[in-house]
Amino acid sequence: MAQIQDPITLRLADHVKAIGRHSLSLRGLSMARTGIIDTIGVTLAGVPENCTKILLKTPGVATASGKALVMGTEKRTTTLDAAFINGTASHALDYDDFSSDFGGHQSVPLVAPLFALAEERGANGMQILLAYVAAMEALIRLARAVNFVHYDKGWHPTSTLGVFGAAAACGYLVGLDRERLATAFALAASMSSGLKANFGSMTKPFHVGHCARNGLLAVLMAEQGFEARHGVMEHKQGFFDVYNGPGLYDVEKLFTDWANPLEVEGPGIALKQFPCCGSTHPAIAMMLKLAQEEGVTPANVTKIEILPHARRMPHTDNPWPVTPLQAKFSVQYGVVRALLSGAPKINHFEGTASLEPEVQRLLSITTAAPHPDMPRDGKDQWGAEVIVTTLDGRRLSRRVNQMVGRGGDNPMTSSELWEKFADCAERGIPRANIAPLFDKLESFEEIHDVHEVTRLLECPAPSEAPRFTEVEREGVPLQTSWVP
Amino acid sequence: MNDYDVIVVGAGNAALAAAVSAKENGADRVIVFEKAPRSMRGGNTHWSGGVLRFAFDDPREIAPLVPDAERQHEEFYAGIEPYTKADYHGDLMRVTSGRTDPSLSRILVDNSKDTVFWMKQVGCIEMEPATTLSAVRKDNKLVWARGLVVRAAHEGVGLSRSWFATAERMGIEIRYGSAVIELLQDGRGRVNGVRLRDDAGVSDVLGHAVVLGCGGFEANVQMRTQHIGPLVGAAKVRGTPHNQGDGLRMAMAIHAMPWGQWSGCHATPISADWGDFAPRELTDKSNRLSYIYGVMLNRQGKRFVDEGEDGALFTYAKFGRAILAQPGAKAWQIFDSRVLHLLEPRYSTSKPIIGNTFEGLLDQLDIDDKKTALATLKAYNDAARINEDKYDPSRKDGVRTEGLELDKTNWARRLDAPPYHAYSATGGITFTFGGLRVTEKAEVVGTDWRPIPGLFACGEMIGGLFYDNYPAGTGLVSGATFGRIAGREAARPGNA
Repeated sequence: MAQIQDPITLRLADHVKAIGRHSLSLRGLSMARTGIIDTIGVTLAGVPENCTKILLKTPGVATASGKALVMGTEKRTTTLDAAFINGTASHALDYDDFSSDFGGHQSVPLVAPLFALAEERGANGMQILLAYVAAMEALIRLARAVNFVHYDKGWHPTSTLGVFGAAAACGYLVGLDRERLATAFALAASMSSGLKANFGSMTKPFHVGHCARNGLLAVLMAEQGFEARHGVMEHKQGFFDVYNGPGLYDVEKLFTDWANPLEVEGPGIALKQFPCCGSTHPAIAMMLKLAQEEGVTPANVTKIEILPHARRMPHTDNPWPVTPLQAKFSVQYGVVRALLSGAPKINHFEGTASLEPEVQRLLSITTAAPHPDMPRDGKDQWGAEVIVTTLDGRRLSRRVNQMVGRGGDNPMTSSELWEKFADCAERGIPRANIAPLFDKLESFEEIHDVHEVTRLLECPAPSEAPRFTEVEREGVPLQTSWVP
Repeated sequence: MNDYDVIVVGAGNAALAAAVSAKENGADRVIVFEKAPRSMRGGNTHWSGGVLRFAFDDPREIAPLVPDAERQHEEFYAGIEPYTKADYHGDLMRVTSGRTDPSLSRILVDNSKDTVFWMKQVGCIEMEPATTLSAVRKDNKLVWARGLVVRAAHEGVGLSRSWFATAERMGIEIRYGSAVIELLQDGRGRVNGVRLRDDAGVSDVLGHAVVLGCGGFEANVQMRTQHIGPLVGAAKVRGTPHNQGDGLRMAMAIHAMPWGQWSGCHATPISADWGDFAPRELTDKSNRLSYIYGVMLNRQGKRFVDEGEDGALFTYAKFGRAILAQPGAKAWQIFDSRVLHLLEPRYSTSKPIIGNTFEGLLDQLDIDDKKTALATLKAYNDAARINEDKYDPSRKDGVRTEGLELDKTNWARRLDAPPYHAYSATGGITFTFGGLRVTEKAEVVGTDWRPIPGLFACGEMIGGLFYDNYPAGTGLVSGATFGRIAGREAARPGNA
């Protein structure tokens, strides 16, 4: 085991390698599995997005053959390119899980390279889960050591720190020895990149693909004997002093109470339930409760009052959204959509969904205003209350004081997770694969071979041959997928 | 003191319908023992297509099940014919040669629509039009196979998921990896519990009533060989490897009466390239059911069924068995390039063998008598000249061969457009028809023709409904119908 005087990369390598099956509680196992399920789902949702499509046609990307699947296609390529493209796709919609302690998205840098590597080297579900858990420990611990100075300076922690997480995940999976894993971390330090200035463009998801690929590359290079300075983190021209600044980080937070409890079990980890701005989620959730618990329907409502926390209002007070982007940032639309259709889906934020007549009618009886008794600068800034008036004159309300995504003591139920997953996966793979895939992922720790999962992540390209393209022709059975 | 009010053995569609029904009807403590681990849960339901065959007089009656259908498909209801109880019962009688149990089949048919609505309302099973199963586009509208319009969303896997979610939400306890190995009886012969084997060892659990819903014996090679014969003994298993006949044997050990066709089973043509058990994640994608558009040859080079006898929905469940009876339990399905677009997408899970001539194709196949095979194909082509312009894959078109020893009576178009494609097929067993005798209340009947108090059965464990063959979409509705009855009766404080 590492000595306190050892270089930080070496200490980190020892700490990562010490994590094993014994470290993982049932709750940790469930949280890790949920993170992987959700990440696979949002990756498939990202398949048709432009950032993914452009990468796929960029010369030199994914042109080499290999064993790793580009999810949602039938293309198999090198682990590096698969990690790159799948990693980018996984963050394309910004619909993936996040951590308030991390200040970013903790799963996306890990899952794409892990699956790519597992496909090439062979791995079972438990090995992948443990690599994910060990890497998340490294990732969020590192964030504790550098945040929020790091974040506030303008770095994008999901990628600047994510590259270390990707290296930890891949190094753990292939079983690098401590020296080489430390080398991989040192290499990762020199590849750490990502500027928040590029938020709002497709370069944000690119950061994720890039860090996933680089973390994997660091491991593959170290495995072959490449060398790097193990003291690169604490060096006066090293990662901490250069990226944060001298004295603006706390190395001890990296190791104190390591894995006790595991970060993957932490209360700060949360899933995004709806494909729209997180600030609208508390109000949407309250409307769903009113519908489920009070039987509120679009037909029996005469008035909808939305009262979000004041800090959630400025960017989401959008009473008549027209474009998909406006719809994503409209608390009024999100709430109305929830009443009309249940948990909002991706296609509710596409095309002209916000202009449907029934939506417009409901928007006309909807108001939004800052909540009068949720203190603006209080501890809880992610609350909302929704009040509806029904035809028979009752006023019904639901209120939540703090709801940052779904996690901690308010995790998504299995059914909610499935609903989101099915919606996402439909964009990337054949419908017939979706439920069998979810079924496999739900007991991910029991699968013997990652290919049981990845074979379901393939999506045949539309065929050039006449074979299945004539299915819509007169008198011809539609494409069938049944079985009695 | 009982540990539970109702103990349910098994966790497929029928068993979970029973558990939900027991809870709905007032049983407070309901437990489900699932022998499989979590990762293999759900019995054969997982492998099914989720199709629900039920009777209705007016197509619009199904609207509450699929409220979005009319928005998704123009003139949705115009292409659906009524499917009356008489039609449904007629189909059952036809495919079983009149042998289906008169009272049980009546219960199934009469309750079918109500059962499916109950699945939706109480079971919270999401449903969708079974467009890709049984709809054919004609004159720009969808024409539906009779009685087969609705299925569970996401097919069998979705159905299984929904049942588990509902059971959990209702507070039903589900224990995985828990094999029931014996039924317990009190001094008066009433079933009052089960003996359980799980990771902790063997233990007894007491309950007011026990519902068996743990399937047939299709995965048990000894029972298959013994009851159905050595041919089916060698069949590949399409469904769960856990249906080992445990429930049947436990019940018969306390003198339950076997009933129905113990020598019969549902066996379909599946790819011969697969292992003995189908991989769970590929559910039903091993099926090879487009034989109606081509011919099937055995290894002696001969045809052995009328491939066009009826729509595949009415022949698939027996043709698997027909293939098993051929040498090497194998057949080759041969198509010409004009019908390739008609093959189900599932054919893409294996690679065809391709030849530009019959000779070139046959050379590559493991057919022992290639001369006969060539003669069979040529004779077929010679006999298949007639009415070619009436060829219509959307219905029984009467385009047939004439003068062959074994004619093909529909869709008999010549195979004359190379390249020719050949797919291997063998028989995959889905479920067994033999079961237990039950009353109209799903009580298990003893060999003394009296109900065994406290013991109920449902699903594939009920004998007498199916003989030789089976109409698609009936199994799940039968499972839920009798599961619902079994759960309700088991929940009665003074049952049996």
